Amino acid sequence: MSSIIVAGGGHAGVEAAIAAAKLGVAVELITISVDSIARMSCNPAIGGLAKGQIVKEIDALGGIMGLAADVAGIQFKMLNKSKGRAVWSPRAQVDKRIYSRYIRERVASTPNLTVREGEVVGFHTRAGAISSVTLSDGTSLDCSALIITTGTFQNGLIHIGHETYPAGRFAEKPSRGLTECLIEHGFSIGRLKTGTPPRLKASSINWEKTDITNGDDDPVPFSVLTEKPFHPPNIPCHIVYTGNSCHEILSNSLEDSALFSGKISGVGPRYCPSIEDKIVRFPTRDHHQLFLEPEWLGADQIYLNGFSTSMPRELQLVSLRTIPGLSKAEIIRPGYAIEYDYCQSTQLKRSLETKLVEGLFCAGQINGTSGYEEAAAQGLIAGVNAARKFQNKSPLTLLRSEAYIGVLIDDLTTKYIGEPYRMFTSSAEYRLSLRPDSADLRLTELGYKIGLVSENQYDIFKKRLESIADIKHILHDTKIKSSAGNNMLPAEKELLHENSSISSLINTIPRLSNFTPEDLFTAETDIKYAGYIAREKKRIEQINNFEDFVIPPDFEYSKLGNLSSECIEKLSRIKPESIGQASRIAGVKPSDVSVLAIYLKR
Amino acid sequence: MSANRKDIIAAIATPPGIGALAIIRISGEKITHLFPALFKRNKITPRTAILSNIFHLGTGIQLDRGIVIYYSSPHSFTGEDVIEISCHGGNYIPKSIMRGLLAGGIREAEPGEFSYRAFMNGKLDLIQAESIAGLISSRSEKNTIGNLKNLSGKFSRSISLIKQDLIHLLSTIEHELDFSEDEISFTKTEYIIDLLKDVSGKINNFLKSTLLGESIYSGIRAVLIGRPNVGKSSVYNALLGHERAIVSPLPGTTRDTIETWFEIRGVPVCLIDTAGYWESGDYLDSLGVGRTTNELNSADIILLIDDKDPSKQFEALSSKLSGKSYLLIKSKEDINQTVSKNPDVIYTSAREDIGFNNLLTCLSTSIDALHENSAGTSANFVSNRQKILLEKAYELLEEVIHVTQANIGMDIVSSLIRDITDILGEMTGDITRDDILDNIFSSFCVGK
Repeated sequence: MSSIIVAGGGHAGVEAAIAAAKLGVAVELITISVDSIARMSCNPAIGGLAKGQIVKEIDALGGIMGLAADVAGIQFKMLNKSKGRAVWSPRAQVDKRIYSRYIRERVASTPNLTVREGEVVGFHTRAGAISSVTLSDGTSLDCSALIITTGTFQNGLIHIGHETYPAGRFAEKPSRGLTECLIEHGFSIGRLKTGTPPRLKASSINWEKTDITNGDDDPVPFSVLTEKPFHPPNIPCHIVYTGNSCHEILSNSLEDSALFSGKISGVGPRYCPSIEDKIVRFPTRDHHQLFLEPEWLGADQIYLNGFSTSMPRELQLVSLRTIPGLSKAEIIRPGYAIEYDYCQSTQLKRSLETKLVEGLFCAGQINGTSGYEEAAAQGLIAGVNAARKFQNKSPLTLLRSEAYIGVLIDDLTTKYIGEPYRMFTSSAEYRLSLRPDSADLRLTELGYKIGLVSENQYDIFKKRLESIADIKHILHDTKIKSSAGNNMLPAEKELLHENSSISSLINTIPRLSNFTPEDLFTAETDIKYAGYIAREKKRIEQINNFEDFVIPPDFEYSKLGNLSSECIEKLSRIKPESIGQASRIAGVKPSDVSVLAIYLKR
Repeated sequence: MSANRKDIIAAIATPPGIGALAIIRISGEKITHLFPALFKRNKITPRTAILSNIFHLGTGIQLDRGIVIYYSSPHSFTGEDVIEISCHGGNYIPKSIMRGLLAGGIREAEPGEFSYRAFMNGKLDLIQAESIAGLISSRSEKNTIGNLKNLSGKFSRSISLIKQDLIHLLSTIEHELDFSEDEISFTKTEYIIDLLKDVSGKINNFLKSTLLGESIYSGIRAVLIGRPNVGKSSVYNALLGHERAIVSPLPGTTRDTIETWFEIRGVPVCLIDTAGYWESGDYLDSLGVGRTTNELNSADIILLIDDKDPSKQFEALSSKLSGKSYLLIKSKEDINQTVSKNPDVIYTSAREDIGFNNLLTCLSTSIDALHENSAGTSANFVSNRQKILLEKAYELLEEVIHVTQANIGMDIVSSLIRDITDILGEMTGDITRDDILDNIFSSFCVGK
């Protein structure tokens, strides 16, 4: 018997299964099809704004996504470079086939981890705790923990124009049963929607009429384990633009869009709108940018980023063909919208274990999130905590001030998610402390302590720590001529000037050339940001008093007559684990927080 | 503070000492059960003044006869049931009523506990609570008006509006950080800077308008200076002799100055005679050093006294007095009478009591002018805590404007703006820090 069962082999499922198995617990990963493990069902890219930070954090904690992206990456780019280093975000276009093949191999070679093809359709509890799961073929498997990572498969319903059919993904059957089982156990379930654009035949595109966009010349890998020098392929992507005739066709046919015809009850993500949505919401824009992204190296299948749609197939084609470069485009697979069940995430503890059923964990889109990265991060945390629970260890939880993953999970467990949740850097109020380049410095020690980070990775981390300290010492001890005047000053002071950089100091201080660009970059940023980070740290300290301030799970809010009934209702429902979490619940006023803090302090 | 006890508390709400009336305030979640024993009544109509006998809760002896008002929860100051008893004043009766209440198991309130309960019950916000603390300790009429103004929440609202502006800007910036590549057009840096400058201007206006607020809290400081033996002390004494409302004569114990408080048309004025350390040594030299400089710097108004020609003295000192409000006073008019009078100079004689009414009028006008300069018509009265926060916010605004102009990084701009909104939130109590709560409520006196 396996101690932990992971239901679903997507990005959340594989991180969960590998992490739990690495911690020494027997894990069984159950997926409808082994071939679909770690399948990228939407865009062929990993990372991006805020998501890139999450990938770095997963890697820092000993997860697998970063490595897989480095192996499968065919174009690397640091986004947002003009906007300040805390919001720089790494992104890679990846070869979808290499990506999932690499992870399949890792799953297969992970000790303690077995894979079974099957479909989990229900679970059973004993004394409020998970005891077994049932598969669609009637098999019953005992387990002490179940991690549900079934993505968009629960009662999935695909919409293409007026066509509607049940599916988990394109041409894959949906799952049934788990939702109903969750409802039976008292969970509240909602409905969300997401979408994906059409895939085009590469040979049908007139590439000469497209703009080219390349990756960085100095690519930076996600994983610290990836060997250097790092020379991945740099395959260009292409850009085309929609125009008025395209907009006209789409806006004249809105009633044909599943999205606007009222067929879809699930709420879609506002930040990742379909093309028809964009046209309605931004009527003054006469064009929208679309990216043509290869789905794998040498692919004849092109992902049309920016053209997510639930229009009928023929309208997709007609409107696309108005676009310069796509006049003869052929669609391999139409864009579609998919509706699916999600389990409201305020029903989770910060460990991602449900409050209602002991040993039941949920991670990924089932919790209302969107994106591979958000899913993988939750999978990692759920896997670690399922294993730690089995080993009678306290759960791993990350603070908002420690990691984007902390922000993500705190948001999920505290706020009602009305639309698919995507990570944004703006959701992190301590963003300066959560730079992508500092992910390992923040988390690897912790990952090592819990047993997820390998000795090899830990050595790399320690060396990096030393190098960064050395660089800072050198910059502290070496006096150089100031660029502003002729006086001598420590190099670290010179670095505070807006226009000075560590690379310009290498000529003056040759010793610096002994260090890697990554270490120099982190040391430089630490110094340049020190004053601002210090101020942010102060803010964190003030808040952390409240984060450490635990509210007993059985606390009766109604006995605090000073709280409004709305506030009592919300607090009783969400059952925040700390005053800090309570303070972030919508509808809980600052005065309520002080009442609560002072009451509990006594 | 025993914040969460729901027991019944009572305190004498009026100051101790001789007075015709005293008020005793009682508050608790439910207190109607006290009526039979305390007033020999079963029911009292809320918010209606009644004349009633008042009895000892332990012995049942009648202690006094007075006016009783019952406020039923939540329509009361604390949000709980409240009884206010207006009884006879003096030392004996109020205390005996208190003893009678304590005998019935009622607890004597801790300082600020009534306001604390009001705050906890959502009856007051933080600024309002602070204003009550200020109101209780206010020295004068204008001070009281200022505190009443804060109590009405106007200041909170103005700060909240500024905060709204910043949050709006923040969301614009965040939007750009989150969607750099595709669909949105960038905001111009100039636009961000303009907005920041606008907010910074508003905060600065607040800071200016708080100057007087602060001086009204701590009083206007009027400093007398002049060469040795020109009659400063005589002017000082004569001024105080003319103003009967001496609040608290405080002979300087640790310093060589003499400070006396009095009130001019509602404003507390601290009159400071610097004679003590200017009588010896060279007076002109001494003006530039140490405590003298501090005294001059902290002065709101300088009274420059001379027995010959104060305007000549002023010319000699002008560099040290620049930017200060001042009055020129010619002393000893009985001995050295001036032939051609300067309209800018106030001519006085302490011995013959000449010119002091005029001096008081001029002083009052100067105070009003200070008021106008710093506050326009809407001075805001802020506590020291609030003023420090305003200054911090202003400083950060200057910094964030620089960071934006120098194009250092929008991540830092955003972080700084978040800091500023936090600071403004702290001012209005939108951000909770329990040390602040404790501080504010511990500065109350009993009965509030």
